[in-house]
Amino acid sequence: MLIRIDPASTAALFEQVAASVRRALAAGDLAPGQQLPPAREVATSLDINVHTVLRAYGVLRDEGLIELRRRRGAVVTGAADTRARLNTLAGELADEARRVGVDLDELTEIVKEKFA
Amino acid sequence: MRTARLTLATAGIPFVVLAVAYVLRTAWAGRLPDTIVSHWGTGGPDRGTALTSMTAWTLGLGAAAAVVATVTALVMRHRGAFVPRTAIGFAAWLATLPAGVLIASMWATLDVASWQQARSAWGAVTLAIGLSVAAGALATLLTGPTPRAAIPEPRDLPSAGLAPGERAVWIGAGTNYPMAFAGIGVIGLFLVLQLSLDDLDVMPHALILIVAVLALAATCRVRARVDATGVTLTLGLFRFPHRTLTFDEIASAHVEQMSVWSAGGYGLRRGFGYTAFKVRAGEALAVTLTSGHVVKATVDDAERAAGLVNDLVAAERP
Repeated sequence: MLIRIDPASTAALFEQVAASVRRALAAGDLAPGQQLPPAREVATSLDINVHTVLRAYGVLRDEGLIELRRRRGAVVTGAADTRARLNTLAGELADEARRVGVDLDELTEIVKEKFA
Repeated sequence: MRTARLTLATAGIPFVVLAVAYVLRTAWAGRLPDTIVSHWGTGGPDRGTALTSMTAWTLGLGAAAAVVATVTALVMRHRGAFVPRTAIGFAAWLATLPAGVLIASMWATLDVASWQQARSAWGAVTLAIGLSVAAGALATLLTGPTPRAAIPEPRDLPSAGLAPGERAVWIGAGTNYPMAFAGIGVIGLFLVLQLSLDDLDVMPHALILIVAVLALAATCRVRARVDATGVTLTLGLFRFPHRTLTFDEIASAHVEQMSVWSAGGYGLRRGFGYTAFKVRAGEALAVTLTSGHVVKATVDDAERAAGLVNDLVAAERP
């Protein structure tokens, strides 16, 4: 799995790490049950704090994409690929709404209409 | 020209040494006993072998080694693979060693009544090793400098699209699941046999089991990490052996398809111009070093790994 960060970016480092994992899930590079690399190894390789990676893994756990297990570390959940795809699409939708000047309430209404 | 040099180095030199050994054997026939010394213990000569039999074995082995080395080197060259001259030197050394042993044994038994009165082992060993090393060195020189592998043009190489200033790490693995589950199967089979057969001895079978499981565990998985420090490859669940390639020794990386038979099997394989961490057939990350040597690892998603290697190599070079 490829994890990349840009220290010059305005996005927080933990968000960039989490985004890399989401991208890998959406692309099908990670399968359910597969382990993510140990946080310490990722942190050392990227020259960032291990807590930054752990925070990214925490975000992904809250999104239901991974489970954090005591001995096996971070493991991809069964529903991760679907949720990751939804997350990616939602991100693109939010970006497009901002670009064309649609605010959150209006966007929520559009989504509600489509969902109904 | 290079083919002629290769043939001379792998076949010409060993066959000349084999011929010299045979000529010496004929010339010394009247001065040698029927049995010559073939082994020394701490107290002196402790084993003899019939001269005829020793001549046939050593010259036969030497000739076979020379033929195998020559055919291998020529086939590799025909396929466009890189043949390092150190490997040619090693092959020539190996092919001439039996002839060296024969000459040394004959020299040690020359002009004595029986092999028990042979000269000291030191002289014979020095002669055998010295002769074969000299032949190997001559073969190395004759082969000439090892040509550098053509480094692919940057536009042909995969890329991960790493932007300037970005940091990245790729961590991946390749697992041979049948091999991994075979270890569990072997343990299960052992337990079934142990419970069903009353008179089955535990120890010899347990030792075989341990060796089999350890061997499977040691070769069922290869893991790779690509980051700013280089490419780190480890084999098996024990992550040993491992190898780290730094970017100053890496020329480029690409994806290669390996068949079940390529590299001669599974595990850590070493051949002419390559080292392979192989646990399965299929796609492999192939890292070409500046020396021309290629290090391969059968990991999944090798294209992305190769892309990141190329991006980081490009970032390292001014």
